[in-house]
Amino acid sequence: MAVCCSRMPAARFKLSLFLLAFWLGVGCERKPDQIPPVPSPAVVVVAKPGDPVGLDPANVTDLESLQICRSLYDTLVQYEPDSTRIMPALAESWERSSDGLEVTFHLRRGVVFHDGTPLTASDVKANYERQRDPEHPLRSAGDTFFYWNDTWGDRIESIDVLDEHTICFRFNEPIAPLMQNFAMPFFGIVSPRALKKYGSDYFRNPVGTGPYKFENWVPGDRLTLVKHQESWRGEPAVERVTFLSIPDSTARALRLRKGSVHIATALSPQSVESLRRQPSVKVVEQPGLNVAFLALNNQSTKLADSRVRKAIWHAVDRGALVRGLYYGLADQTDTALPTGVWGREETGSRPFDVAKGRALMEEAGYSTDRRLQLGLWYMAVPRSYLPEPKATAEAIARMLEEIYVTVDLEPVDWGVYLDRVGRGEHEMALAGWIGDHGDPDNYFSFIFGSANIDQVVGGTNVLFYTNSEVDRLIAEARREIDQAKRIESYRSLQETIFEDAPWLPLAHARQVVGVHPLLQGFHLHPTGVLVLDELRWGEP
Amino acid sequence: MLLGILLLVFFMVRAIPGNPARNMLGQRATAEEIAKVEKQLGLDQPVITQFANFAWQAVRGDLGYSLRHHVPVTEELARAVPATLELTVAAFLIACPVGVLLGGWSALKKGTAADLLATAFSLSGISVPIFWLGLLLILIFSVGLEILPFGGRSEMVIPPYTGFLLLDSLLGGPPGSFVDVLKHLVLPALTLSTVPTAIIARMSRSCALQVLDADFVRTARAKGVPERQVLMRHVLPNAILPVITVAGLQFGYLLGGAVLTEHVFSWPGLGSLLLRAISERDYPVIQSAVLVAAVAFALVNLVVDLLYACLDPRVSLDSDR
Repeated sequence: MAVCCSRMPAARFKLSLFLLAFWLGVGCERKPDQIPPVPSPAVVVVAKPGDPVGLDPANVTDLESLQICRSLYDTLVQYEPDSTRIMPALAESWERSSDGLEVTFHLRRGVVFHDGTPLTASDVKANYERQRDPEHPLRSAGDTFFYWNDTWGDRIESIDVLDEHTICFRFNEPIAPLMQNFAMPFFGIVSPRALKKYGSDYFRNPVGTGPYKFENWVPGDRLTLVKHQESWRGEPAVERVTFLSIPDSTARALRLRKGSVHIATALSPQSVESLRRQPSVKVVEQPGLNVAFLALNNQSTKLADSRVRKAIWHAVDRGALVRGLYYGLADQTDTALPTGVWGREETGSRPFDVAKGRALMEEAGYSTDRRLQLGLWYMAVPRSYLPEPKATAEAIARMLEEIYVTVDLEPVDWGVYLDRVGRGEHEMALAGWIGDHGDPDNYFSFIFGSANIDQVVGGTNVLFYTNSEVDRLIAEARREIDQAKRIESYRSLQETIFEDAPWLPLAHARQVVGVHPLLQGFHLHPTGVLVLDELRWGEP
Repeated sequence: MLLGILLLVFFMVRAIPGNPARNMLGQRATAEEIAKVEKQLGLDQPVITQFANFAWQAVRGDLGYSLRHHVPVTEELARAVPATLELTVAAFLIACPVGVLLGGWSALKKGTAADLLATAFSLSGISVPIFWLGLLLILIFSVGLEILPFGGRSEMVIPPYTGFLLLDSLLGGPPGSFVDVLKHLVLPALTLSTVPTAIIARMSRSCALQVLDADFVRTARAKGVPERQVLMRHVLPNAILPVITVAGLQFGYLLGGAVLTEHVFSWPGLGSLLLRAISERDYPVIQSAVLVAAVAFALVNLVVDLLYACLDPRVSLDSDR
């Protein structure tokens, strides 16, 4: 080293120091960014982590596709921009029969598809029949219609066109979340003429009635929409919306800061804190429709004793998990229903209390000499409801040690996680559920209903929890049309589940999107979809 | 060899845990729904039948359809391969001259501060994590200095005549598109070139040191041959041969998809395609991408072997000699 220094000229040494200082200086982010200028003409660039799978709403399930489909298509009814309450869309009004078996929609007049053809009740019928009828001529090879069975199954008896703008759906049993189902993005109305023209290539030649129409798609890079001037919502104020695929979260955040993108989705919780300090970014938060939980396998003999399950509730400091591992971007919970979903009621609380947890374990026969050994599985990749699965599992394991529980941590590849947890191979596992439309049934039946236990291919009841009273209440609430009565059923349901403690609910993660501070009219829907209908640039 | 690669790729891909149908349908899929999709995708057939179909189609140039995106795999590869090739060539154009010059300079200055600096540079080139370096370069040149773009291949929409955007921008891109594409190429190419630059530099240094100590170099110097001529006519041709082998190998590795670089710079190449396909358990895409990478690697090695015969008179392609 002495040789090195003695031979290095002073000027070069100073240059090296300067370069080093420059590198470090740039990295330190000492001064906040300025607000980037408003682009002209009025375009909006959205940075997303990936490409859509396709643009046929009936055949997609991924958020990347659904976020774009929301701007291309309209449904008969739609969710309010910030909640899952229903408002008119293609149907400007509707009537439901008193027995709940029939609903008649009156379509808005003057709605035109992106190709200029008018929307009629026959087009709506063709869309639903295409998914309902396996022999329908508008079907193509590769059509899967993932959500049809879950949502409607064989419960639609008939679909009748009463006149050009009136359509009637008849069901063979009452469906409580009926209007929520109609608002789901999978039932966006596509042009039957375009379906016929493009066949199995429709997914990249979409034609809907939404506020923006398709312009081009460079896979892996960008997808551009232009405004639909004849949109029934009125002509959008923004000329073009470009969706960029930027897989790296840090790169999305940096581009947002510098103004080369105007909306950035799927930001990591770690980067949100730094973005909040930047005047060049507005952070938009929205409670999500998700719930993260510790799935306790109720069929395991080790967890059959409710005292053990309740002790686990008391031993886990969920507030600390929310603060430390969700970076504050979550709401601690004692129930399955996320904040803002009607029917939510925390019917009880088991606060963090290690002494109480230890006492319950002692009652169940455990002590320092007789510890309970439990396996805890966690997924190897972050999920939207659980940003730090590994650290969360480690923290829970450490907390459970205090109540005579020794935890064996096991990371499981996400590719097989759902299968294995669904089949009940776990004792404890980190898990989550993302609701589709904010109806309570969408949570309770999937998470706690015994009908959703499937040890062969794997079900959604990963708690392996069976309680006939819970099943009865779920079925009763599903058949009931009167919302007040449904709320009562869900209150009883939440009480029963809380008493049984078949799981440990952790938190509802909030969704976060970064937006240019001068961009107005942007809504982040609880379902995670971007509502861009009213986007416009404000004054600097 | 091709059959061996096909076999290996096919069965390795199926050894990855996970079910593509379950992956597509999500948590709430029933056994019937999974079985239906498996049938649609041809995953219900025996693995041997699946392999026979895949091999038969592959030799005819048909690599099947993406399970997830329902487009021909050849279409996906036709987009990804030129992107990766363009990036790899650009990185290689940086790595080869810089690596050889750095290694040669380091050998000539053996034991001095310059040698230490060059060695430190090479070592850090090998050791620095690519994703970190990529982000650091973005911080400096895109966020700090605002002179280079953050990522992607271009801000403009360029008609894809060949898939090589530099060429396409010249053939029919909008005005300014060539410079735009070039600017987008700089940071990913620089990031991707660090490891091969460092390896080539280390190799060049050790080869040059060996040759510099050789008798024929001492003889040339003793005869009074000018130093420049000694280096260019005696040292370089002899030291460069092993470097070419190493450089060829590096080129082959990079063609396999620079996953991290492509991820950080949102570069839609083979690495990004492979990453996405693995997470989606998209078997046809995974096996085809790996197949392309393996074939490219074998081809690059073949080219290197042929180059040897051209550069070294002692090596002959004639089997009789």
